[in-house]
Amino acid sequence: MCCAGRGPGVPFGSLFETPHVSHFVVWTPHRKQWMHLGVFEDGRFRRETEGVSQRGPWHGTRVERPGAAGDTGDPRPRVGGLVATSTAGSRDAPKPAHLAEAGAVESRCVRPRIAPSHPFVSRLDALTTRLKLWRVAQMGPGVRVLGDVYVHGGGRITLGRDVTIDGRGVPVELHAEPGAELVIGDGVTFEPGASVEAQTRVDIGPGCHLGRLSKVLDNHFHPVRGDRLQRPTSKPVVLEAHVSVGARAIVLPGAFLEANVTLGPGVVISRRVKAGLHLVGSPPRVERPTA
Amino acid sequence: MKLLDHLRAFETPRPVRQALVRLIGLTAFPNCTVGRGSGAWTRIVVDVKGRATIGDHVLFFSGLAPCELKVAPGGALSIGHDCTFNYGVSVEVRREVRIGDRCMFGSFVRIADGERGPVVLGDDVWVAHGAVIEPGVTVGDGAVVSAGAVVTADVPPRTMAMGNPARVVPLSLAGEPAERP
Amino acid sequence: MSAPRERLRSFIVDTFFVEDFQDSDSFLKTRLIDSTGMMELVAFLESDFGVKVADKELVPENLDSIDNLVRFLKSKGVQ
Repeated sequence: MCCAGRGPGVPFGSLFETPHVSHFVVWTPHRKQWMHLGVFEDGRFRRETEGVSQRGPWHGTRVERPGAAGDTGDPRPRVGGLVATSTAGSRDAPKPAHLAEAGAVESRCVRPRIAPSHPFVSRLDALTTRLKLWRVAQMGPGVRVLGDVYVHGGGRITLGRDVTIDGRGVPVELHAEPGAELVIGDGVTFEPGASVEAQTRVDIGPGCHLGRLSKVLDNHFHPVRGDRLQRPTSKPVVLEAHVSVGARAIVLPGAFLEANVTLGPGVVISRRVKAGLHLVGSPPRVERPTA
Repeated sequence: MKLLDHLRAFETPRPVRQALVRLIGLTAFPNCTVGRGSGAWTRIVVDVKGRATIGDHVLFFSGLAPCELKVAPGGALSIGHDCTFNYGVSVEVRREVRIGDRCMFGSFVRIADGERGPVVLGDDVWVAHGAVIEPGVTVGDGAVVSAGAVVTADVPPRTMAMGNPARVVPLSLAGEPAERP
Repeated sequence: MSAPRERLRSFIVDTFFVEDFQDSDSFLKTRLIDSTGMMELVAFLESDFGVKVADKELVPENLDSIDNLVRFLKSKGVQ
């Protein structure tokens, strides 16, 4: 099933097709596990918020085998078996056991969020991407940089595959201080003006989306009280898989956004947020979790 | 989009721009009275048709977007000593904006005065990233405007304004001294 | 409708990922909730209990522990 169609809810990840339905799973380097994000059926994507547990990824959850809709009265098809936790600790670890059992076939899927450029400009961008990202320590295949990206600081920055950095108009900033680490997962997309600054460690999971002029910080740079020129301690920031940070939103030190969290425009967050929630406003409040 | 539109968006490569700025040296501040040791080693948009007075050791940093100082005819902008402006700060003056000494402005801060009155910032004010200070606001000495806050009412000295619209909390609610907002 | 104490506790447990804390524990001293969290707590008081918290009432004495919150709500007429 092709998932490169229109629609805001199409995530990035691996698409496993079983006879009845397609499942989206993503690899979370932070937990070194495969995480089930949702199902794709009838051309629509439905996020799995029940399967994503509060304290960790979908693991050990038993669900029914695919069968007739009338079995349990619930029309949603399910897939049987237990999800296996990867022990290899690498991205090529065994896929979730139940999906392998069901004879799942993997296909790639990339979220089409960035408007394409003119073909000539795209070719120019492809040539200049490696040049623009020369300071990046490691990057996977398929990384695209449109416009300008401001990589500075001297720390270690790693990009996964198929990362799209749209810096047309206002550059995207990737800053890691010496000794700091900025890890960006597969398929992450950056809109113009997005800025990530790592003084110790910032983890951005696969499929995340950073909106226009958004900011991710792991250090406040100045304390509220006391000597304003004394830099406070950093608090690592983690964005798990498929987190969407709205335009002009600010992710402050110590924030931990679990999978599928969506921040509306202008949200300022500095704490851990449960998976699947949609936060709006300042101070943030929870809207209906998208399902 | 047409090819021409795409090419217009293709700016001068950053290394070329940086070399030009270094060649030219400290960016000129037309129409401003600038103190000792103040300046911007980067492109900054200065459009002063009224009066602007900048104190000593005021620095404008480089980054994703240039700082902007816009003063309309008849307007007056006054910036104190030892202030630092991170990139993208936009100060727009219609009648009066006064900024005290040792103020710190995070990136993309927006300050504008207007119908509701002048904007006055005291000494030692820290305005964090992305905050917006609306017309008619007075921020007291030592106050902190939290990241992303939209300040619509006065902020008393040594308090913290956070949220949209901003609410004022005493610094005692801001956690331990080593903590941040 | 359960007592304010239970509703407050369940909001804090749900929102801030904390479970083991006493009613008298200071949120700020134990770093359970930071200042942004305090504003979310105030927004919760205003929306769920219908109380209006004035700016000068935003002090640790009113907000810094479950005991303080219950006392504050009682002073605002919430039983």
